[in-house]
Amino acid sequence: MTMDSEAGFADFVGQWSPALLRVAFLLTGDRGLAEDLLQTALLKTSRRWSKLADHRAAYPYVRRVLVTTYASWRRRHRVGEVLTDQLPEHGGAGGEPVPTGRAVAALDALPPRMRAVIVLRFYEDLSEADTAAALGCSVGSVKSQASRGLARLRVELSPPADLLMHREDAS
Amino acid sequence: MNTDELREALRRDAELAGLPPTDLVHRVAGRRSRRRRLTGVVGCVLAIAVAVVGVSVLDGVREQDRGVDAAAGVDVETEVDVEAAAAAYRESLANGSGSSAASYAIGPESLTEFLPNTTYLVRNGTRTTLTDAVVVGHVTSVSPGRAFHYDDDEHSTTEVPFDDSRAMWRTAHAEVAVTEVLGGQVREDTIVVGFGAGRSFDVLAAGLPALGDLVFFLQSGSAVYDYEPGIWSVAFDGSVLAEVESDGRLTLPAVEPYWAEQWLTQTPTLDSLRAAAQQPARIVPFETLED
Repeated sequence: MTMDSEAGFADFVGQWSPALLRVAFLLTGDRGLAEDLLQTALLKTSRRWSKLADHRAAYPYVRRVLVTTYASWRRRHRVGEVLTDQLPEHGGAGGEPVPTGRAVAALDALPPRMRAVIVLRFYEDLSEADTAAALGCSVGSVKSQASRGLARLRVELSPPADLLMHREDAS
Repeated sequence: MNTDELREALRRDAELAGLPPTDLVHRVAGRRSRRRRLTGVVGCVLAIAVAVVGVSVLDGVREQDRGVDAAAGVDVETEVDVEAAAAAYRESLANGSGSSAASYAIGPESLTEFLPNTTYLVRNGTRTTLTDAVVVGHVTSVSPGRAFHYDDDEHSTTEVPFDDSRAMWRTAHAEVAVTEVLGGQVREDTIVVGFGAGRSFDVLAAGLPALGDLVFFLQSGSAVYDYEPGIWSVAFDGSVLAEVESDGRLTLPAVEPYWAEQWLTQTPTLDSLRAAAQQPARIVPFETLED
Protein backbone atom coordinates (compact mmCIF):
# COMPACT_ATOMS: atom_id res chain seq x y z
CA MET A 1 0.00 0.00 0.00
CA THR A 2 1.15 3.53 -0.67
CA MET A 3 1.31 6.13 2.11
CA ASP A 4 -1.96 7.63 0.89
CA SER A 5 -3.75 4.34 0.75
CA GLU A 6 -2.33 3.33 4.15
CA ALA A 7 -3.71 6.54 5.60
CA GLY A 8 -7.03 5.86 3.87
CA PHE A 9 -7.11 2.36 5.28
CA ALA A 10 -6.35 3.65 8.77
CA ASP A 11 -9.15 6.18 8.45
CA PHE A 12 -11.52 3.49 7.33
CA VAL A 13 -10.61 1.25 10.26
CA GLY A 14 -10.99 4.11 12.68
CA GLN A 15 -14.40 5.04 11.36
CA TRP A 16 -15.95 1.66 10.68
CA SER A 17 -14.32 -0.89 12.96
CA PRO A 18 -16.80 -0.35 15.84
CA ALA A 19 -19.72 -1.16 13.54
CA LEU A 20 -17.87 -4.11 12.03
CA LEU A 21 -16.96 -5.41 15.47
CA ARG A 22 -20.64 -5.38 16.44
CA VAL A 23 -21.50 -7.44 13.36
CA ALA A 24 -18.63 -9.82 14.13
CA PHE A 25 -19.85 -10.15 17.70
CA LEU A 26 -23.36 -11.08 16.58
CA LEU A 27 -21.88 -13.63 14.19
CA THR A 28 -19.57 -15.27 16.71
CA GLY A 29 -21.24 -14.56 20.05
CA ASP A 30 -17.81 -14.13 21.60
CA ARG A 31 -15.90 -10.88 22.07
CA GLY A 32 -12.47 -12.45 21.56
CA LEU A 33 -13.50 -14.38 18.47
CA ALA A 34 -15.23 -11.28 17.11
CA GLU A 35 -12.04 -9.27 17.43
CA ASP A 36 -10.04 -12.03 15.76
CA LEU A 37 -12.60 -12.29 12.98
CA LEU A 38 -12.49 -8.54 12.43
CA GLN A 39 -8.69 -8.52 12.34
CA THR A 40 -8.69 -11.34 9.80
CA ALA A 41 -11.26 -9.57 7.63
CA LEU A 42 -9.30 -6.31 7.79
CA LEU A 43 -6.08 -8.15 6.99
CA LYS A 44 -7.67 -9.67 3.89
CA THR A 45 -9.08 -6.28 2.93
CA SER A 46 -5.76 -4.50 3.42
CA ARG A 47 -4.19 -6.70 0.76
CA ARG A 48 -6.83 -5.58 -1.73
CA TRP A 49 -7.20 -2.04 -0.45
CA SER A 50 -5.31 -0.37 -3.27
CA LYS A 51 -7.53 -2.22 -5.75
CA LEU A 52 -10.79 -1.13 -4.18
CA ALA A 53 -12.01 1.47 -6.64
CA ASP A 54 -14.20 3.37 -4.22
CA HIS A 55 -12.99 3.41 -0.62
CA ARG A 56 -16.24 5.03 0.45
CA ALA A 57 -17.99 1.80 -0.54
CA ALA A 58 -15.51 -0.35 1.38
CA TYR A 59 -17.82 -1.11 4.29
CA PRO A 60 -20.03 -3.57 2.33
CA TYR A 61 -16.88 -5.18 0.95
CA VAL A 62 -15.35 -5.72 4.39
CA ARG A 63 -18.68 -6.88 5.76
CA ARG A 64 -18.83 -9.48 3.02
CA VAL A 65 -15.27 -10.62 3.82
CA LEU A 66 -16.28 -10.78 7.48
CA VAL A 67 -19.30 -12.96 6.78
CA THR A 68 -17.56 -15.31 4.37
CA THR A 69 -14.56 -15.66 6.70
CA TYR A 70 -16.92 -16.42 9.57
CA ALA A 71 -18.68 -19.09 7.49
CA SER A 72 -15.37 -20.77 6.69
CA TRP A 73 -14.32 -20.70 10.37
CA ARG A 74 -17.56 -22.26 11.42
CA ARG A 75 -17.23 -24.98 8.83
CA ARG A 76 -13.92 -25.92 10.38
CA HIS A 77 -14.94 -25.60 14.00
CA ARG A 78 -18.50 -26.80 13.97
CA VAL A 79 -19.12 -30.19 15.50
CA GLY A 80 -22.20 -32.10 16.54
CA GLU A 81 -24.75 -29.52 15.58
CA VAL A 82 -28.26 -30.97 15.60
CA LEU A 83 -30.58 -29.54 12.98
CA THR A 84 -34.33 -29.87 12.98
CA ASP A 85 -36.96 -29.24 10.35
CA GLN A 86 -39.66 -28.78 12.97
CA LEU A 87 -41.07 -25.28 12.67
CA PRO A 88 -43.04 -23.77 15.51
CA GLU A 89 -46.68 -23.01 14.97
CA HIS A 90 -46.51 -19.79 16.91
CA GLY A 91 -44.09 -17.30 18.35
CA GLY A 92 -43.29 -16.63 21.95
CA ALA A 93 -45.34 -14.71 24.40
CA GLY A 94 -44.56 -11.44 22.58
CA GLY A 95 -44.82 -7.94 23.84
CA GLU A 96 -41.96 -8.27 26.32
CA PRO A 97 -38.46 -7.12 25.49
CA VAL A 98 -35.88 -9.85 25.05
CA PRO A 99 -33.46 -9.69 27.98
CA THR A 100 -30.05 -8.30 27.10
CA GLY A 101 -27.70 -11.03 25.92
CA ARG A 102 -30.47 -13.52 25.09
CA ALA A 103 -30.62 -12.71 21.38
CA VAL A 104 -26.93 -13.23 20.73
CA ALA A 105 -27.03 -16.42 22.79
CA ALA A 106 -30.03 -17.63 20.79
CA LEU A 107 -28.12 -17.06 17.55
CA ASP A 108 -25.76 -19.84 18.67
CA ALA A 109 -28.53 -22.31 17.86
CA LEU A 110 -28.45 -21.38 14.17
CA PRO A 111 -26.22 -22.84 11.47
CA PRO A 112 -23.67 -20.30 10.20
CA ARG A 113 -25.33 -19.22 6.96
CA MET A 114 -28.70 -18.91 8.65
CA ARG A 115 -27.10 -16.86 11.42
CA ALA A 116 -25.43 -14.62 8.85
CA VAL A 117 -28.75 -14.11 7.06
CA ILE A 118 -30.47 -13.12 10.31
CA VAL A 119 -27.68 -10.69 11.23
CA LEU A 120 -27.57 -9.08 7.80
CA ARG A 121 -31.37 -8.88 7.40
CA PHE A 122 -32.40 -7.83 10.90
CA TYR A 123 -29.33 -6.13 12.33
CA GLU A 124 -27.76 -4.59 9.25
CA ASP A 125 -31.23 -4.07 7.73
CA LEU A 126 -30.13 -5.25 4.31
CA SER A 127 -32.74 -6.10 1.72
CA GLU A 128 -33.12 -9.73 0.68
CA ALA A 129 -31.29 -8.94 -2.56
CA ASP A 130 -28.39 -7.22 -0.77
CA THR A 131 -28.16 -10.05 1.75
CA ALA A 132 -28.02 -12.54 -1.11
CA ALA A 133 -25.26 -10.51 -2.76
CA ALA A 134 -23.27 -10.33 0.47
CA LEU A 135 -23.50 -14.06 1.00
CA GLY A 136 -23.15 -15.05 -2.63
CA CYS A 137 -26.42 -16.98 -2.70
CA SER A 138 -29.88 -16.65 -4.24
CA VAL A 139 -32.67 -14.45 -2.93
CA GLY A 140 -34.78 -17.56 -2.54
CA SER A 141 -32.14 -19.04 -0.26
CA VAL A 142 -32.12 -15.86 1.83
CA LYS A 143 -35.91 -15.99 2.15
CA SER A 144 -35.97 -19.59 3.29
CA GLN A 145 -33.01 -19.16 5.65
CA ALA A 146 -34.54 -16.04 7.17
CA SER A 147 -37.90 -17.75 7.62
CA ARG A 148 -36.41 -20.82 9.26
CA GLY A 149 -34.01 -18.72 11.30
CA LEU A 150 -36.80 -16.57 12.69
CA ALA A 151 -38.81 -19.64 13.54
CA ARG A 152 -35.93 -21.13 15.47
CA LEU A 153 -35.16 -17.87 17.23
CA ARG A 154 -38.77 -17.67 18.35
CA VAL A 155 -38.37 -21.07 19.94
CA GLU A 156 -35.06 -20.09 21.53
CA LEU A 157 -36.38 -16.80 22.85
CA SER A 158 -39.76 -18.02 24.01
CA PRO A 159 -40.28 -18.23 27.75
CA PRO A 160 -40.13 -21.85 28.93
CA ALA A 161 -43.47 -23.65 28.78
CA ASP A 162 -43.57 -24.24 32.51
CA LEU A 163 -43.16 -20.52 33.07
CA LEU A 164 -46.10 -19.78 30.75
CA MET A 165 -48.16 -22.31 32.64
CA HIS A 166 -47.23 -20.65 35.89
CA ARG A 167 -48.27 -17.25 34.54
CA GLU A 168 -51.62 -18.60 33.42
CA ASP A 169 -52.13 -20.20 36.79
CA ALA A 170 -51.25 -16.97 38.52
CA SER A 171 -53.70 -15.01 36.45
CA MET B 1 -41.38 -12.05 19.32
CA ASN B 2 -41.81 -10.12 16.08
CA THR B 3 -39.09 -8.88 13.76
CA ASP B 4 -39.06 -5.39 15.28
CA GLU B 5 -38.44 -6.89 18.70
CA LEU B 6 -35.68 -9.02 17.21
CA ARG B 7 -34.09 -5.94 15.62
CA GLU B 8 -34.16 -4.15 18.93
CA ALA B 9 -32.71 -7.16 20.78
CA LEU B 10 -29.92 -7.54 18.24
CA ARG B 11 -29.03 -3.85 18.44
CA ARG B 12 -28.90 -4.03 22.21
CA ASP B 13 -26.79 -7.19 22.24
CA ALA B 14 -24.45 -5.86 19.56
CA GLU B 15 -23.48 -3.10 21.97
CA LEU B 16 -22.07 -5.79 24.25
CA ALA B 17 -19.18 -6.00 21.80
CA GLY B 18 -17.89 -2.71 23.14
CA LEU B 19 -15.24 -0.80 21.24
CA PRO B 20 -12.50 -2.33 19.14
CA PRO B 21 -8.90 -2.03 20.36
CA THR B 22 -7.36 1.32 19.53
CA ASP B 23 -4.31 -0.32 17.97
CA LEU B 24 -6.30 -2.34 15.44
CA VAL B 25 -4.48 -0.87 12.45
CA HIS B 26 -1.12 -1.70 14.02
CA ARG B 27 -2.25 -5.23 14.76
CA VAL B 28 -3.35 -5.72 11.16
CA ALA B 29 -0.09 -4.21 9.95
CA GLY B 30 1.78 -6.54 12.30
CA ARG B 31 0.00 -9.58 10.92
CA ARG B 32 0.74 -8.36 7.38
CA SER B 33 4.43 -8.00 8.14
CA ARG B 34 4.53 -11.42 9.86
CA ARG B 35 3.03 -12.88 6.70
CA ARG B 36 5.56 -10.99 4.59
CA ARG B 37 8.40 -12.33 6.74
CA LEU B 38 6.95 -15.81 6.41
CA THR B 39 6.70 -15.37 2.66
CA GLY B 40 10.34 -14.26 2.65
CA VAL B 41 11.37 -17.27 4.70
CA VAL B 42 9.32 -19.52 2.43
CA GLY B 43 11.07 -17.93 -0.53
CA CYS B 44 14.50 -18.62 0.94
CA VAL B 45 13.54 -22.14 1.93
CA LEU B 46 12.01 -22.60 -1.50
CA ALA B 47 15.24 -21.56 -3.16
CA ILE B 48 17.19 -24.02 -1.03
CA ALA B 49 14.55 -26.71 -1.52
CA VAL B 50 14.60 -26.22 -5.27
CA ALA B 51 18.32 -26.70 -5.25
CA VAL B 52 18.10 -29.74 -2.98
CA VAL B 53 15.17 -31.23 -4.90
CA GLY B 54 17.11 -30.69 -8.06
CA VAL B 55 19.93 -32.72 -6.58
CA SER B 56 17.41 -35.29 -5.29
CA VAL B 57 15.85 -35.62 -8.70
CA LEU B 58 19.25 -36.12 -10.25
CA ASP B 59 20.00 -38.68 -7.56
CA GLY B 60 16.70 -40.32 -8.37
CA VAL B 61 17.66 -40.60 -12.01
CA ARG B 62 20.93 -42.19 -10.97
CA GLU B 63 19.00 -44.59 -8.73
CA GLN B 64 16.73 -45.44 -11.62
CA ASP B 65 19.80 -46.16 -13.70
CA ARG B 66 20.61 -48.74 -11.06
CA GLY B 67 17.10 -50.21 -11.30
CA VAL B 68 15.61 -48.48 -8.24
CA ASP B 69 12.48 -46.35 -8.52
CA ALA B 70 13.32 -43.33 -6.43
CA ALA B 71 9.75 -41.99 -6.63
CA ALA B 72 8.53 -45.04 -4.76
CA GLY B 73 10.37 -43.83 -1.70
CA VAL B 74 13.70 -43.93 -0.01
CA ASP B 75 14.65 -47.49 0.81
CA VAL B 76 15.81 -47.45 4.42
CA GLU B 77 17.68 -50.70 3.93
CA THR B 78 20.17 -48.93 1.69
CA GLU B 79 23.44 -48.05 3.26
CA VAL B 80 23.08 -44.75 5.02
CA ASP B 81 24.72 -43.29 8.06
CA VAL B 82 21.67 -43.56 10.29
CA GLU B 83 23.01 -41.40 13.11
CA ALA B 84 24.13 -38.71 10.70
CA ALA B 85 20.77 -38.74 8.92
CA ALA B 86 18.90 -38.48 12.21
CA ALA B 87 21.19 -35.70 13.40
CA ALA B 88 20.72 -33.78 10.15
CA TYR B 89 16.97 -34.07 10.43
CA ARG B 90 16.97 -32.98 14.09
CA GLU B 91 19.14 -30.03 13.14
CA SER B 92 16.77 -29.06 10.34
CA LEU B 93 13.90 -29.20 12.83
CA ALA B 94 15.80 -27.13 15.36
CA ASN B 95 16.60 -24.55 12.70
CA GLY B 96 12.97 -24.40 11.68
CA SER B 97 10.37 -22.28 13.36
CA GLY B 98 9.76 -24.81 16.15
CA SER B 99 6.37 -25.30 17.63
CA SER B 100 5.25 -22.80 20.18
CA ALA B 101 2.00 -23.21 22.03
CA ALA B 102 1.66 -19.44 21.76
CA SER B 103 1.26 -19.85 18.00
CA TYR B 104 -2.00 -21.75 18.28
CA ALA B 105 -5.48 -20.98 19.50
CA ILE B 106 -5.24 -23.75 22.08
CA GLY B 107 -2.06 -23.81 24.14
CA PRO B 108 -1.71 -27.22 25.80
CA GLU B 109 0.11 -27.40 29.11
CA SER B 110 1.20 -31.00 28.73
CA LEU B 111 1.61 -33.74 26.18
CA THR B 112 -1.36 -35.54 27.73
CA GLU B 113 -3.63 -32.84 26.33
CA PHE B 114 -2.73 -34.08 22.85
CA LEU B 115 -4.20 -37.47 23.65
CA PRO B 116 -7.66 -38.12 22.20
CA ASN B 117 -9.03 -38.73 25.70
CA THR B 118 -8.70 -35.00 26.40
CA THR B 119 -11.52 -32.90 25.00
CA TYR B 120 -11.56 -29.11 25.04
CA LEU B 121 -14.86 -27.48 25.75
CA VAL B 122 -14.94 -24.10 24.02
CA ARG B 123 -17.14 -21.32 25.33
CA ASN B 124 -19.79 -21.67 22.65
CA GLY B 125 -20.23 -25.35 23.48
CA THR B 126 -17.99 -26.70 20.74
CA ARG B 127 -15.96 -29.73 21.74
CA THR B 128 -12.67 -30.54 20.11
CA THR B 129 -9.59 -32.70 20.57
CA LEU B 130 -6.08 -31.84 19.44
CA THR B 131 -5.58 -35.23 17.81
CA ASP B 132 -7.65 -38.03 16.37
CA ALA B 133 -5.16 -40.77 17.17
CA VAL B 134 -1.80 -41.33 18.83
CA VAL B 135 0.34 -44.23 17.71
CA VAL B 136 3.83 -45.60 18.26
CA GLY B 137 5.69 -46.77 15.19
CA HIS B 138 8.61 -46.18 12.88
CA VAL B 139 8.96 -44.75 9.41
CA THR B 140 9.83 -47.37 6.82
CA SER B 141 10.02 -45.13 3.76
CA VAL B 142 9.44 -41.58 2.60
CA SER B 143 8.33 -40.60 -0.88
CA PRO B 144 7.70 -37.26 -2.56
CA GLY B 145 4.11 -36.09 -2.21
CA ARG B 146 2.71 -33.12 -4.08
CA ALA B 147 3.78 -29.56 -4.79
CA PHE B 148 1.54 -26.53 -5.03
CA HIS B 149 1.60 -22.94 -6.16
CA TYR B 150 -0.69 -20.26 -4.70
CA ASP B 151 -1.68 -17.24 -6.73
CA ASP B 152 -2.37 -14.39 -4.33
CA ASP B 153 -4.24 -12.30 -6.90
CA GLU B 154 -6.42 -15.11 -8.13
CA HIS B 155 -6.78 -16.69 -4.65
CA SER B 156 -6.30 -20.03 -6.30
CA THR B 157 -4.04 -22.99 -5.62
CA THR B 158 -2.71 -25.14 -8.42
CA GLU B 159 -0.69 -28.32 -8.27
CA VAL B 160 2.67 -28.23 -10.01
CA PRO B 161 5.30 -30.90 -10.58
CA PHE B 162 7.21 -31.76 -7.42
CA ASP B 163 10.43 -30.23 -8.68
CA ASP B 164 8.74 -27.20 -10.28
CA SER B 165 10.38 -23.92 -9.33
CA ARG B 166 6.96 -22.28 -8.90
CA ALA B 167 6.09 -24.63 -6.04
CA MET B 168 5.44 -22.72 -2.83
CA TRP B 169 5.02 -25.78 -0.64
CA ARG B 170 5.63 -29.45 -0.98
CA THR B 171 4.47 -32.51 0.87
CA ALA B 172 6.15 -35.83 1.54
CA HIS B 173 4.48 -39.12 2.41
CA ALA B 174 5.97 -41.24 5.16
CA GLU B 175 4.94 -44.87 5.43
CA VAL B 176 4.70 -45.76 9.10
CA ALA B 177 4.68 -49.26 10.56
CA VAL B 178 2.38 -48.99 13.58
CA THR B 179 3.46 -51.03 16.58
CA GLU B 180 1.05 -49.68 19.19
CA VAL B 181 -2.08 -47.53 19.25
CA LEU B 182 -2.18 -45.34 22.36
CA GLY B 183 -5.45 -43.61 21.52
CA GLY B 184 -8.00 -43.20 18.76
CA GLN B 185 -9.03 -45.58 16.04
CA VAL B 186 -6.22 -46.93 13.88
CA ARG B 187 -6.77 -50.45 12.62
CA GLU B 188 -4.12 -50.67 9.92
CA ASP B 189 -0.63 -51.96 10.61
CA THR B 190 0.76 -49.45 8.12
CA ILE B 191 -0.41 -45.86 7.71
CA VAL B 192 0.73 -42.92 5.60
CA VAL B 193 1.62 -39.71 7.41
CA GLY B 194 2.12 -36.47 5.53
CA PHE B 195 4.94 -34.04 6.26
CA GLY B 196 5.84 -30.66 4.85
CA ALA B 197 8.83 -31.13 2.59
CA GLY B 198 9.73 -27.48 2.37
CA ARG B 199 12.97 -27.67 4.33
CA SER B 200 14.72 -30.41 2.39
CA PHE B 201 13.21 -33.53 1.00
CA ASP B 202 16.35 -35.63 1.13
CA VAL B 203 17.09 -34.68 4.75
CA LEU B 204 13.49 -35.54 5.65
CA ALA B 205 13.52 -38.77 3.65
CA ALA B 206 16.73 -40.00 5.22
CA GLY B 207 16.14 -38.54 8.68
CA LEU B 208 12.62 -39.71 9.50
CA PRO B 209 13.38 -43.43 9.17
CA ALA B 210 16.63 -42.90 11.06
CA LEU B 211 14.80 -41.62 14.13
CA GLY B 212 13.60 -45.11 15.01
CA ASP B 213 10.58 -45.47 17.27
CA LEU B 214 8.40 -42.40 17.33
CA VAL B 215 5.12 -41.37 18.92
CA PHE B 216 2.91 -39.79 16.27
CA PHE B 217 0.21 -37.39 17.45
CA LEU B 218 -2.10 -37.60 14.47
CA GLN B 219 -4.91 -35.64 12.93
CA SER B 220 -7.11 -36.80 10.09
CA GLY B 221 -8.76 -34.67 7.46
CA SER B 222 -6.07 -32.00 7.13
CA ALA B 223 -6.84 -29.66 4.25
CA VAL B 224 -3.19 -29.87 3.20
CA TYR B 225 -3.65 -33.51 2.26
CA ASP B 226 -7.20 -33.39 0.97
CA TYR B 227 -5.90 -34.68 -2.36
CA GLU B 228 -5.64 -38.08 -0.63
CA PRO B 229 -8.00 -38.31 2.34
CA GLY B 230 -6.37 -41.39 3.88
CA ILE B 231 -3.22 -39.47 4.77
CA TRP B 232 -2.75 -38.57 8.42
CA SER B 233 -0.96 -35.43 9.52
CA VAL B 234 1.01 -34.65 12.67
CA ALA B 235 -0.53 -32.14 15.06
CA PHE B 236 0.63 -28.54 15.25
CA ASP B 237 1.92 -28.38 11.69
CA GLY B 238 3.92 -31.58 11.97
CA SER B 239 5.78 -30.72 15.13
CA VAL B 240 4.21 -32.95 17.79
CA LEU B 241 6.33 -35.96 17.11
CA ALA B 242 8.10 -37.64 20.02
CA GLU B 243 11.25 -39.68 19.74
CA VAL B 244 11.45 -42.72 22.02
CA GLU B 245 14.94 -43.06 23.45
CA SER B 246 16.43 -46.47 24.27
CA ASP B 247 15.53 -46.03 27.96
CA GLY B 248 11.93 -45.10 27.12
CA ARG B 249 12.33 -41.36 27.63
CA LEU B 250 10.52 -39.08 25.19
CA THR B 251 12.00 -36.08 23.41
CA LEU B 252 10.27 -33.55 21.16
CA PRO B 253 12.83 -32.50 18.54
CA ALA B 254 10.50 -30.17 16.65
CA VAL B 255 9.17 -28.29 19.65
CA GLU B 256 10.79 -25.22 21.20
CA PRO B 257 12.80 -26.34 24.25
CA TYR B 258 10.70 -24.26 26.66
CA TRP B 259 7.49 -25.96 25.57
CA ALA B 260 9.10 -29.37 25.16
CA GLU B 261 10.23 -29.28 28.80
CA GLN B 262 6.80 -28.18 29.98
CA TRP B 263 4.88 -30.69 27.87
CA LEU B 264 7.05 -33.59 29.02
CA THR B 265 6.90 -32.81 32.74
CA GLN B 266 3.90 -35.08 33.40
CA THR B 267 4.78 -37.75 30.86
CA PRO B 268 8.55 -37.93 30.40
CA THR B 269 8.49 -41.55 29.20
CA LEU B 270 6.51 -43.75 26.85
CA ASP B 271 5.24 -45.74 29.84
CA SER B 272 3.87 -42.63 31.51
CA LEU B 273 2.26 -41.46 28.26
CA ARG B 274 0.73 -44.92 27.80
CA ALA B 275 -0.71 -44.74 31.32
CA ALA B 276 -2.14 -41.27 30.64
CA ALA B 277 -3.74 -42.55 27.45
CA GLN B 278 -5.57 -45.21 29.44
CA GLN B 279 -7.11 -42.71 31.85
CA PRO B 280 -10.85 -41.95 31.56
CA ALA B 281 -11.80 -39.21 29.14
CA ARG B 282 -11.64 -35.73 30.58
CA ILE B 283 -12.95 -32.35 29.49
CA VAL B 284 -10.82 -29.23 29.72
CA PRO B 285 -12.64 -25.87 29.67
CA PHE B 286 -10.98 -23.51 27.22
CA GLU B 287 -11.45 -19.76 27.26
CA THR B 288 -8.43 -18.06 25.80
CA LEU B 289 -7.46 -17.43 22.22
CA GLU B 290 -4.37 -16.34 20.41
CA ASP B 291 -3.72 -12.62 19.92
